[in-house]
Amino acid sequence: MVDGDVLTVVLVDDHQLFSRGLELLLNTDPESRVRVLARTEDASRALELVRHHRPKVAIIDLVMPPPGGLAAVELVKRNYPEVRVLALSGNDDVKSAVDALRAGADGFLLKSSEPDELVPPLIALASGVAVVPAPVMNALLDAKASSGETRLAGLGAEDIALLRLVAAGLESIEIAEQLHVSERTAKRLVAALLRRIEVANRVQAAAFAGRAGLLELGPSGSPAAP
Amino acid sequence: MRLALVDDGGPFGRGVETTIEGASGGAVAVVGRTDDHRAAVDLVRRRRPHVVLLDLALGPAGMAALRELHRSTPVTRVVAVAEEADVTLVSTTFRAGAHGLLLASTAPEDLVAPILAAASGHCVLPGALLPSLVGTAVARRPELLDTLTPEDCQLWRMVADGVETMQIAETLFVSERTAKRMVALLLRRLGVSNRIQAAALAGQAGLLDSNPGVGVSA
Repeated sequence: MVDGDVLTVVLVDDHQLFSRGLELLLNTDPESRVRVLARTEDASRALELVRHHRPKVAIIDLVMPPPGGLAAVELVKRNYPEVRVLALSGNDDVKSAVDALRAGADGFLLKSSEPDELVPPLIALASGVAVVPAPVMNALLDAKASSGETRLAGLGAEDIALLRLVAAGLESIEIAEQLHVSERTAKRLVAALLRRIEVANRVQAAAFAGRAGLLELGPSGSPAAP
Repeated sequence: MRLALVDDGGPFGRGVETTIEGASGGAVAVVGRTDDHRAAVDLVRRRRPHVVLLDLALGPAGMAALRELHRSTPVTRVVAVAEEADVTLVSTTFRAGAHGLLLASTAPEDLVAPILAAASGHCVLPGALLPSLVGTAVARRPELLDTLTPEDCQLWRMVADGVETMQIAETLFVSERTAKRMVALLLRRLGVSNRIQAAALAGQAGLLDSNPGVGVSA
C-alpha cells in the first residue's frame, strides 16, 4: 500500500453489533490506514453499496438472510472484479469458506478472530495478497491434489486431444478415423492413456477430463463434442 | 511480534530490518538475520521468532530449510519468499509447512501486514494464484447440482465412476430394469446421450470434488 493511500471499506453484515464494532475499530486504527465508507445489513444492497462508494475492499458476511452473503460475493466480484472481497463467517465451516473463494472472494476470515487481528489481513488483502485460515488452505490443497492435477501434468497435447475424444463418448472406430490410425492402434492408444491417468475405464476417464477442466461446455450444458 | 530473516541479501537488501520495523509502527521486531540456510534452525532456536521470512531463492537449500524448520520448531510460522510463483510452488511450499508465500518483488513495507496475518495463524499467498488454487480457473457448473436431489447425485456419482447397471441395482436395492430406467432418466435430465458424457459433466459440475466437512479453526 502506498503511503497516504487510505484503505476504503464497505461492510455488508446483518449482525449490527459486530458490524458497528468493526467499523469503530477500523476507523480508529492508530495510523488511520482504514476508512469505512458505508455499512449495510442487507445482502441485496451489497452491489449498490459497492457501485456507489467504489471501495478498495468489501467485507461481506456469508451468513445472512436471502439472498445471502455468498450471492453478494459473487455479484460484487462479477461486476467489480477490481474490488477485493473479504468473506467473513462466524461458522467454523471449511466448505462455506471454499464456496466463498470459488465465488471470487479474495480472502476469508473467521469472525471469532480477535477484532484487532482483522486489520493486518485486511491490509494484506488490499495489497493483493490472499488471506485464508490454515485449515481452509489445507482443504484447498487437498481438493487440488485429488482433482488430478499431478496426473494431468504428465500429459502432452496429443494425450489431451485423445482424452477429449474419449470424454466425448466416441467409440474406438470413430477415434481411429479422427486420428487416421487403425482401430487396433486407437484401442491401444486409449488403453495406454487410461493407464497414464490411472483410471479403470473410459467413463472414469471422462469424469477425470471434466474435473480437470479439459472440456468445453456445449450449448445444451453437456460437454461439447470436438 | 518477533521476526527473523533467512535470506542471502538478495530480495530484501540491506536495511530491510529497519524498514519493516518502521512500517509496522513498532508491532514487529527483527530479532535475527542470517544468509545461511543451514543456520536457520539454530537461529530460530536461539532467538525464538514468531515468524521467519525465508528466501527460497537458493533452490533446494531454501525448501530444505523450510522442511527442517517445520520439523524442529513447528510453532514458528514460516513465510517463504520466491522470485516467481505458480500454483505448484504454492502446493509444495504449504505442504512443506509454510504459512505464507510472497513474491520477492513485494515492497518491504508491504511485507508487514502479511507477516502479521501469518503470525495470527492465517495463510497468505499472492492473490493472483488463488483462482487456480480454488479451481475457479476451470468452468464449473455448480448450479446443475442445485437442481438435483441427493439421490440423483448418488446415482450420478455411480454412473460417473463407471459402475455397471447390475451393481447400481444392487446398491439401490432395485431390479436391474429399474436401475436402467433410472439411469436413462438421469441422462435425459442432464441433457446427455450416454454415460461417458454424464461422467464428463459430473467432473465439470464439481460433483466429484472432495467435500471438506471439517471445521475451520486450528
